[in-house]
Amino acid sequence: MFRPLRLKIIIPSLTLFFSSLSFSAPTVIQINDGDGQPLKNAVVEVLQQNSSVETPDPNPVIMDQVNKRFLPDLILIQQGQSVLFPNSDNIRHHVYSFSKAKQFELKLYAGKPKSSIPFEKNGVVIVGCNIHDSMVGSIYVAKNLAMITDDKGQVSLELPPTTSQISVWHPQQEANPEEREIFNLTDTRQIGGSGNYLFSIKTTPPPARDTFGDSFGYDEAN
Amino acid sequence: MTKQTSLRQKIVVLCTSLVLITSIIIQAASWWSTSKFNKNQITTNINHAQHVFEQYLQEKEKLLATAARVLTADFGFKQAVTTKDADTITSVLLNHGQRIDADLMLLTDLQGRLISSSLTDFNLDSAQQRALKELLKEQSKTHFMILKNTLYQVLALPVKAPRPIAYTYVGFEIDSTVTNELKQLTGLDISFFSGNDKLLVSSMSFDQEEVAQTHLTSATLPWFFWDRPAYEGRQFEVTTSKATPINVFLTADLSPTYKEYDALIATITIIASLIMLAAILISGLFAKNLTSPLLQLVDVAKEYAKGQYDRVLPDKSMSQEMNTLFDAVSDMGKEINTREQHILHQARHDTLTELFNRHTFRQIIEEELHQSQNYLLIAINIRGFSNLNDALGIQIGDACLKALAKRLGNFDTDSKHARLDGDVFLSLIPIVGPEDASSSTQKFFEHLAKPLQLKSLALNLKFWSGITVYPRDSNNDPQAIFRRTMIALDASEKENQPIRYYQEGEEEARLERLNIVETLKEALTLDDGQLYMNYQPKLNLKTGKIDKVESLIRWQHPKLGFVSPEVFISYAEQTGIIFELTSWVVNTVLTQLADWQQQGIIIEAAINISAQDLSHPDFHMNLMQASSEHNVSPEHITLEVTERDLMQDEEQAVALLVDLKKSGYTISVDDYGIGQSSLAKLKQLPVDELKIDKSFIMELSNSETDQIIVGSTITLGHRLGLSVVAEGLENDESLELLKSMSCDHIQGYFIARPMAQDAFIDWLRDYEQKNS
Repeated sequence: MFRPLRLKIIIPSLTLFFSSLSFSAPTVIQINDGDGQPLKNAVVEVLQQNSSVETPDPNPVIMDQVNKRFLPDLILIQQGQSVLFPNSDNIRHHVYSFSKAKQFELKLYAGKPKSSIPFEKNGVVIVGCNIHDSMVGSIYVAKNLAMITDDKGQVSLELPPTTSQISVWHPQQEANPEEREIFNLTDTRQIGGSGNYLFSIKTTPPPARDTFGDSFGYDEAN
Repeated sequence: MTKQTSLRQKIVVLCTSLVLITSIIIQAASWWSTSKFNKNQITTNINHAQHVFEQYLQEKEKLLATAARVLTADFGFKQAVTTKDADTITSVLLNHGQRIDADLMLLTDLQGRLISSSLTDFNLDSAQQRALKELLKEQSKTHFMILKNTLYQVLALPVKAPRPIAYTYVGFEIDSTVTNELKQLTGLDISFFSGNDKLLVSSMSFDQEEVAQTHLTSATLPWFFWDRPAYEGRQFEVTTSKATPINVFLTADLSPTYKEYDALIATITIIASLIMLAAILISGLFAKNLTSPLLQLVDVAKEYAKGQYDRVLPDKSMSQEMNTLFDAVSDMGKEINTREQHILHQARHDTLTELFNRHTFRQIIEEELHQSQNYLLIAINIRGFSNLNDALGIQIGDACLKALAKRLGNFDTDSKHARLDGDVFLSLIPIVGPEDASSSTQKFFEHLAKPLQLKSLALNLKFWSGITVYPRDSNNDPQAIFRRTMIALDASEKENQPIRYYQEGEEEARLERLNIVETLKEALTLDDGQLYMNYQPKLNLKTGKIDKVESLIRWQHPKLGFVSPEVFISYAEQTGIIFELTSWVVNTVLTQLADWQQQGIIIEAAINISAQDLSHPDFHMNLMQASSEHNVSPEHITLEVTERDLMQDEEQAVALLVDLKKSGYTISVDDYGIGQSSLAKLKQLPVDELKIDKSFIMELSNSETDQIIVGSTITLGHRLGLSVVAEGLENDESLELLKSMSCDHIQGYFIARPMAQDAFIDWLRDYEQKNS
């Protein structure tokens, strides 16, 4: 089975976020791909009418650029958080996004940009580099409680009692990359013990890296 | 009669048909190889063209893909797309489309909805949307699409930012410029048809507006009596949406090929026609050269058939075989001529003596004798030539004939001589007039008189001769002179005259004789009483009784009257019907004897037979049969043979007489005393009776000499055991003399004349009454 993502996902605030919700038993949500295999790096967000999320972390989240790749290429941030796009390569990059949730452009630069980019709207922001087409990064700006699936394709969430819907998004989903699929918890079938859910979304394999330079510069050992 | 074709015609037909067949085969072969070559060429061209076409498309595709990729990667383009401002997007599509010379630019969202288009007033229908989505599956691959009735080669590329945010479709129009360019490259016409058989674009120009695909596959050009396909081509599909197939036709226009081929055929046809014409002329000439000597040969053969062998054959320079044939025919003519001359000579000449033969000589007489010229005809017959042959052998005989022929040939130059048969020769000697006949004859025989010298043998020949003088003895008939000469020759021998001139009327007498003989034959056949028997009694002097008769034939012809027996018997002997006559006599006499026997009259009868009867093989058998048939004993029959006939002494005749005597018949020698026989010789013959010739008896009483002869003959006859009959008794004195000489029987007028049977019976009764 194709295992496309071997990226280390560093979410420093996540542990803290989960501990604050530990008053009730966590619900395990299993996400599978179209072939029934556990889907890693899927973002599961709990949809709530009245969000009671804490104020976002004022420190920007780092999305570095190493070997003509965004590192990490998927980050989950809260609405209102900022992301800093340092350039660790010795070449310049031109980072941009035309996504609905955020359009921005960091014209050819090297090193650390002057400022981080704030993400005021929730949604999916796809970032690219204008001069390196193969560089694709995803920033999931969550409004509510959200989590990325582990290697087993699972997330464990303390679901508020009023929760009726969740959304699932994945960078390689077949659907529009900026759209999230919404599932009703009531009409999905459970797995394992009570409160455990299984959802599937279809994915496509990521496109091969199609430039000579990209494949040449990429070091797989990292 | 069936019409025969001439050799000349056959040769011409043969040559012409050979040329015709050859040219037809060449035509067919060239047609076959040309069309095969053309077909291969066209197939190669089409393969090549298809390859070029595909290459062209690939190149175009690559070009398009590269250009489009660059275009969609343009950041400004991406930015413009994200503005969602329709006018901006449209303007950027047009702008960027112009950069890569694209004829078609479309932009759809990820769901395939049209965002913007370089075409005015354009909207995608659902089929087109599906077709565009199909394109996405194989990006950088082009499809052919029909949009607003125009054919495009279309490529789809996503607009990535960096994830796909929209799809751009870039297309080049396939128009007549493209097809013409392809035609330039491939050398073939190219046509594009939509799935519903609509012509989209073509490098060809058509007369009609609506052109179907079938036009390219089945259009024909009329050619003589059939049609030829107008195009040769190949149809294949290009990559497109499955729903809207597009057919491409690569077609080669065949008319230039046909033009070349037709020109080739025309050239071959003209050449073949010229060759055929030449073949007809040359073969005609050749056939004439061949047949004209044959016709000459035919003429020559016809002349040969007529017997003209002097025709000189033309000494032309012809073929070797013809010359050989002419020589052979010429030689044949000479050979035939030689042989003909030889055969003619043989046919005209006697092979032994080289004199003319009978047939030729008759011809000579018929054709060469002229009334104005007198001729002497002398037929000669060597006397005793058969004896000479017997004595000296046939070879000497033949040599003698040859020598005689040579002698005749030397007589004089004007004479002609022939050997008729055996030892009979005939000479034709021109004379001045009949008065010279005897002197010429004399000269002729003097010429022959000298002995013939045959090697060491000198032969002195004597001749019978018959002589006629032409035209005196000819009766105006050349054939008659021949016959009459032969008649004279016959007479010469019969009359024992060495030189026998023809006597006037001789032939007529002979003809009369022949007439009598014919009439006699008729009388024998009819047996109607013309011929009858007379019987002359013989008196037995010892008993004084009539116990024998001599039967004598008589002939009273209704027209000729009484014919002398001496005459007709003589003729019968000469012509060989004496045997039939004797048979008739035997039958008649035996019938009579049997009749008399039934009446109680026992009497013996004497029958005269001739030498020819004796030499006849059936005589004895016939006589025996008649005797038994009439139940008359042979003892009652006496056969009288003249002394002369008897003395011929042929072995067969003597043997027959011996047999007859053994059978019981009495043999009597008639006319005894006038021949040259001796009694000693008679003794050796089977004779029972002597009948002294009447010349001794008629004057017996007056002649002492006759008395001595008769008396001594009777005595001698008795001594030899023979009975003696005297005939021709005329008077009583003679009767008494014969009685005294102890003669056994007497016969004569003094006793009785010969009588018919009725008269004889009457006479006999009367006689017996008188003397009883």
